Amino acid sequence: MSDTRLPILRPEGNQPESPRLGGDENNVPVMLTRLDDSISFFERNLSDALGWARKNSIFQYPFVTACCGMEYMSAMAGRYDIARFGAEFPRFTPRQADLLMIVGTINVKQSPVLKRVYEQMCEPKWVMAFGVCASSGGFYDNYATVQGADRIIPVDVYVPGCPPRPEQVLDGLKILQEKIQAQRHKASTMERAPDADVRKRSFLGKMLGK
Amino acid sequence: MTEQLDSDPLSLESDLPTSLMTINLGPSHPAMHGTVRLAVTLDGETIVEAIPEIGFLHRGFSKSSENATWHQVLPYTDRLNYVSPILNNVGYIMGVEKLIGIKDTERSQYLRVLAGEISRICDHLTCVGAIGLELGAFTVFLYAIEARELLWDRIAELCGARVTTSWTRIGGVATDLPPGWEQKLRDCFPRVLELTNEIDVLLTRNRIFVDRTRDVGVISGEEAVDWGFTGPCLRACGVNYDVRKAHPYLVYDRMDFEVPLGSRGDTYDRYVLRLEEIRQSHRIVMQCLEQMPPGPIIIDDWRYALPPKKEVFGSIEGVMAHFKLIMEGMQVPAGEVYVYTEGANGELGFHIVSNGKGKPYAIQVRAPGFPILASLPRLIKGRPVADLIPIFDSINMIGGEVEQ
Amino acid sequence: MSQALVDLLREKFPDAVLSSASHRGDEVVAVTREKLVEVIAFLRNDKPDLKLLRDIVAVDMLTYKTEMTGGGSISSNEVSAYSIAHKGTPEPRYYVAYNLYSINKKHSLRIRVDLKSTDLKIPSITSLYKTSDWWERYLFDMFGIVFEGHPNLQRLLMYPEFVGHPLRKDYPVRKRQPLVQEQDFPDLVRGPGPGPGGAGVPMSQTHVGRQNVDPNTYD
Repeated sequence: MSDTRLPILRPEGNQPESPRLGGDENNVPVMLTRLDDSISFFERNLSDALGWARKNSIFQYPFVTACCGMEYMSAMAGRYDIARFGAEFPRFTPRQADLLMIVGTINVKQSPVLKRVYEQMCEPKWVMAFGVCASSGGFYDNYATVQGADRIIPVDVYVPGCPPRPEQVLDGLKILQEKIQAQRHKASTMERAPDADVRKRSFLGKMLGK
Repeated sequence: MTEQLDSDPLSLESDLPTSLMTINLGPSHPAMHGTVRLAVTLDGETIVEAIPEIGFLHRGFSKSSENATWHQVLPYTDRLNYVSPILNNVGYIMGVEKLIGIKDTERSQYLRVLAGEISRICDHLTCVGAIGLELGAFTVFLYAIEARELLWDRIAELCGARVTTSWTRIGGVATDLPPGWEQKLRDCFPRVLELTNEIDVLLTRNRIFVDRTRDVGVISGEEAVDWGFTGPCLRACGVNYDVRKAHPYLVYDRMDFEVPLGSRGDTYDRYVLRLEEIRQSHRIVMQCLEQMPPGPIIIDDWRYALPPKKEVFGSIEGVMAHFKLIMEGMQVPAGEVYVYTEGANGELGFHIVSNGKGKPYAIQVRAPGFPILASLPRLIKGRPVADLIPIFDSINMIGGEVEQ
Repeated sequence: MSQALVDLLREKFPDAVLSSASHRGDEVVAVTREKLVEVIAFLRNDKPDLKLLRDIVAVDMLTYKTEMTGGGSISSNEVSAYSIAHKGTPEPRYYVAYNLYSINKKHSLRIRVDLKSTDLKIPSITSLYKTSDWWERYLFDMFGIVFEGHPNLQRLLMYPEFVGHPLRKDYPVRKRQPLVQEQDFPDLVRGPGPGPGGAGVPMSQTHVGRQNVDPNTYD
């Protein structure tokens, strides 16, 4: 580790110069925002605990439309048990659910319904796009099908497959659980809960200008 | 109905003024069958009127299939009746073969019947499981899904996929039985039948289940035919129409099986009929395994069937045939045909129009669930809203086929 | 399917029957539009006993002669529709076919009526079969055929805000009409499509030379 990229704060309080404008290349100022360093010890533990609780007790809202519903049934049933991950109970009202599983094709007529259901859910909420039709429209590139549910609502986990095997669904659930654990959870309900729309903050999103 | 208050407001028999309430069921609703929106007008708990609205799963099957070659349409047909996809594959390919005027090999006919009946069992298990789930019997659902998993393991070994198989080809089928598959099938069937019997024991003479489904959603035979019913819903009314017996196709004329018939046309009959059809399909499967001759599984005509890989990589004719078939599609002679097979829900028909080229010109699916769903208002009018669920489950509407 | 039915029909309605054909075991009888209800009522209520209306089908013959071969990778409907626009519409452009079946007598028949695109009306048979209700609504939705006498002729599968009739051959397959504001990811490979919210030409056509070119400017 030859170069130490530490923020350089000049005593006068000026902004550090950009290396491209003729500044020193060895002292490139970089902002450090490691999540662990930015919150206190107690808040961090509370966030971990809440994250653990939330990831192991997911109440799903299965927005089942099409063939992926068959594999959803398999994932819920005895052999590929989704209950062992704590996500067993489908809450058939969005008001009580925190995971919206979009199972199957979303077509244009269904899109306002999906948006309405998503908006009815309370924070914190996550969205899983189950199957390729929900992820990107599948092979239905025609007048009737929305090319992916993420054109309408933000999606956290995409589980591809037509339909995906239940093991793949459980893998997607595990990835979502890791994501939930890593998010920052707050005890106070006055502030906004973890933002599920990762696109707004991601580097790639900024590159694409979104 | 809006009533006037009694002249003496303190009278104990004065009626309360009421009005009708319209509520919305769906399109995203807990029932395991397709997405449909029902605007029901209720008088208290009695349904006065119900207006179904569909279209929430319309995926443009006909339009997409006009832009794909004859074989590229196969995956689209899988997703029509996604609970028994092999029956859709078989129906569609039989239509194309009828247009061309060829027949597939004998072994492939047996294979199609065999896999088709396994798919039919899966469909009936899913329907019965969903009926149980929605009426509160979660155990029935778990048993049915476990039985379905056992069969799907066999289907996955045979076709490569559990749900969306795309297994038939023009002139035959894609893959033959893997080694040891027959024995595995014979081993898993006793467990499947055991689970079916468990479901039978749990539901068929269960007081609560019988009370909820007996004489619920009754329709007479003539009216059912007028509404376009076919399949288990029609046979529950007592009308004996099964395409496998009326116009036998493939090798159904060599199979010995019975067609169960109901008598009352209610939800209970539709449920019991499906359980019985599972057992009859099992008989057909066993007979297929015994009677199946060895031989090729696809015809040897390179105008329609892909040449074997050895030829494709080894000879000029093979390469040329493969290239033409993939790039341009099989050139099916011009014409129009309507082919009908017995799907799990009824008569599954494909109306196929060809203009002589490598793509279908027009395909329209006659989905068995379409006319049955159209009759839903007739079935539920006048019943309490709690009867809506058993009726809707027993007609087994599959969103994919109804809305193409 | 039986030839005897066709002969009976010809005998009973000599002026209504325009032609009959048999292809691969399916008998088709073309009748005039004016006599359609009468013919079907006879087929249903009289000796033929064709009580089960299986389905009603419509076909748009716009590109029947000109549609190119090949799968979705090689051709597209837009090209052939363009050439039709310069060569004119073959009339009659549509036909509606009724597939009828008798459960008791085990015979079936298809009745066909040709329709011009300028006069896209046909009498409804909802008075005869209850199941024709939804089939006619479906055809109205997909093709724009007006069924006179239908009690509730509205769109069935598409939504009321949808403009056009999707299964017509000149409706582009990828033309979407979104209901909700969609986040439109720019498709860098395929480019914009004919309608909002979607991909453009198929992947394989992006590298193949000829796309939707105007033959007059092609050089």
